[in-house]
Amino acid sequence: MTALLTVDHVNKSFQGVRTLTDVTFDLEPGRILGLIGPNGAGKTTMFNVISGIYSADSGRVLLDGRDITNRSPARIAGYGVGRTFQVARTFNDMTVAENLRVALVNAGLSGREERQRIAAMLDRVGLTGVRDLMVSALPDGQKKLLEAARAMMTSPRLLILDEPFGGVSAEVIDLLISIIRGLVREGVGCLVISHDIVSLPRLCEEVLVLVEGKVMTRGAISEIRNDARIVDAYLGA
Amino acid sequence: MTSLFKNFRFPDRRALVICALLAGLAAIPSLVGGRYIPAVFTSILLFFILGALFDFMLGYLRIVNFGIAGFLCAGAYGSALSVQYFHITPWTGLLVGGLASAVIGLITGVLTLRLRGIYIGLTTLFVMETLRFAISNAREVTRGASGLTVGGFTPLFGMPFPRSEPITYYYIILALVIVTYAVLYAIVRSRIGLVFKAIRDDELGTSVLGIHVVRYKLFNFVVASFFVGVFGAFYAHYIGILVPTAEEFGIQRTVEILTIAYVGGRGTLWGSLLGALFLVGMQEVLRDLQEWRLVIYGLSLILIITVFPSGFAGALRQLGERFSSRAGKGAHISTKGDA
Ligand SMILES: Nc1ncnc2c1ncn2[C@@H]1O[C@H](COP(=O)(O)OP(=O)(O)OP(=O)(O)O)[C@@H](O)[C@H]1O
Ligand SMILES: [Mg+2]
Repeated sequence: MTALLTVDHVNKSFQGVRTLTDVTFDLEPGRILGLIGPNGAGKTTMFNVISGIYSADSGRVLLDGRDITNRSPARIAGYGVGRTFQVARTFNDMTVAENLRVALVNAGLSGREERQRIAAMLDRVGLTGVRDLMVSALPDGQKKLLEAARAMMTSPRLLILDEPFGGVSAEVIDLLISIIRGLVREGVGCLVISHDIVSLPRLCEEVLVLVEGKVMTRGAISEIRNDARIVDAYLGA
Repeated sequence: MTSLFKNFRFPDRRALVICALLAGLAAIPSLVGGRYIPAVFTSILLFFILGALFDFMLGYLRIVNFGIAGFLCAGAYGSALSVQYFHITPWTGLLVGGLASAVIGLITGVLTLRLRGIYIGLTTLFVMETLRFAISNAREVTRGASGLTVGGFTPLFGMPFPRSEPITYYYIILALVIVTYAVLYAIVRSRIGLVFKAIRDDELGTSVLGIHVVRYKLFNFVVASFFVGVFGAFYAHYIGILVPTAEEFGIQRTVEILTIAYVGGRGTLWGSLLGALFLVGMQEVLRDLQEWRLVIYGLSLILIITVFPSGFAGALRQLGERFSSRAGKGAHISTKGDA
């Protein structure tokens, strides 16, 4: 089976400071991979390289075997990569429903189909009650949920989520986990950065550990928990 | 009355207000008659639509077009010169002027719209000054500073447009303004307009949804350039003589247009009508202070921006919200989306 995502010897520096060193891993469709590591390990930088926000100094990123390295964010999204940000980038000057509507502009839907899709997603993530509220009035947790819903609206094949549980209430975390699991069952690949060691094991079995810009190890969460080095590096941060 | 309009399914109440306003604008100058009032109203409409076009770029996508007077210039000379050398009618000239300006807009946009805002501002300024300089120097073709005389609009469907009757020109610009405003309004209310709003809010957040931000900016910029060019062409045939001075097609004209957009209120389109009424009105009242015009513009800009940071339109909206919340009813309407 060919990988959905292949990250191949990616390097990235900022002003001469190495942030990513030879990062290499892959992800198969229908799988979830957790991405963990201490603050400043380069997790977000990795996401930014995958989604085209930063260009890699060297190395390649492939999606379904297609080289997407250093393409523009819009292009990469068009190829089927959906993402969220560590601090949610919702459109705060719009209503909740309008935020989702923006994600559908390239889908070429009729007004009716569009409304149905939006209503279905609002229902799925439990935001129907606030659909016409300005996003600026929402608490941060709901903004994160909305941002994830918006990313899912583009029907991505690869979904990359940066700290999706940050500031999110327990029930919403449960909901989010079940939605992500549902997508993954349909064949979507998912990469999740999370510091939440309670929630992450409920979402995925496997994690990639990034420390100081290098892949330290990859394995089952249960094993990694028993690895003293990782407990030091990750939990000690 | 309201139930009647409900069946029309107008996009919203604002559209109705605008229709009423336009009807008023159509009626007043013809009822008053004479030459002075139609000329003043022509100025108001011209500045209103230029302010709205400036706002279409600034208020929706934060594109600062300091060179807007240059696009006006491209349209004016584009039409005037084509009429003179290629013997087209001024009516076709409107289109030619629009296209001339749109082409310059396209080139400028392709070169600058991926850059940060300040570069767009500087480049448009540069384009404007280059154009003005080129026109000043190509005296054999444009007559430079001595001025290019331009004929008026030719009869259309047997209807004459003599310059001695400004009311006839007023009807031309009224028709052009209605069409232009309708197009801008339709864009702003469409999916494209929604994307404009998204880009204004968060460019990166928009692009990761697969939306090519630069294409939307380019579309906005070229559409605005086209219409500015059309009104430049109208202006040429209305005013009858073109001189490439800064007051006409340089920084001074840009400042006037910019002031109207800011004073009226950004991101509303219709706010510019208030801006134009205020500033053209004030200019007429203070006619003797011609040389002080820019100073007056500058002062009113500072004053109004300080008192009403979101312009007259913003102040009016706040007033409306206060009124409707006091009345109890209808307060929920303002927060309700229309998707
Ligand atoms: N645009 C940038 N310019 C300069 N340095 C940057 C930039 N982006 C990231 N870095 C640096 O790269 C390093 C890794 O940052 P990154 O945000 O990827 O870490 P992270 O693993 O996501 O950390 P956290 O858990 O705190 O979110 C940090 O030292 C950061 O300062
Ligand atoms: Mg991070």
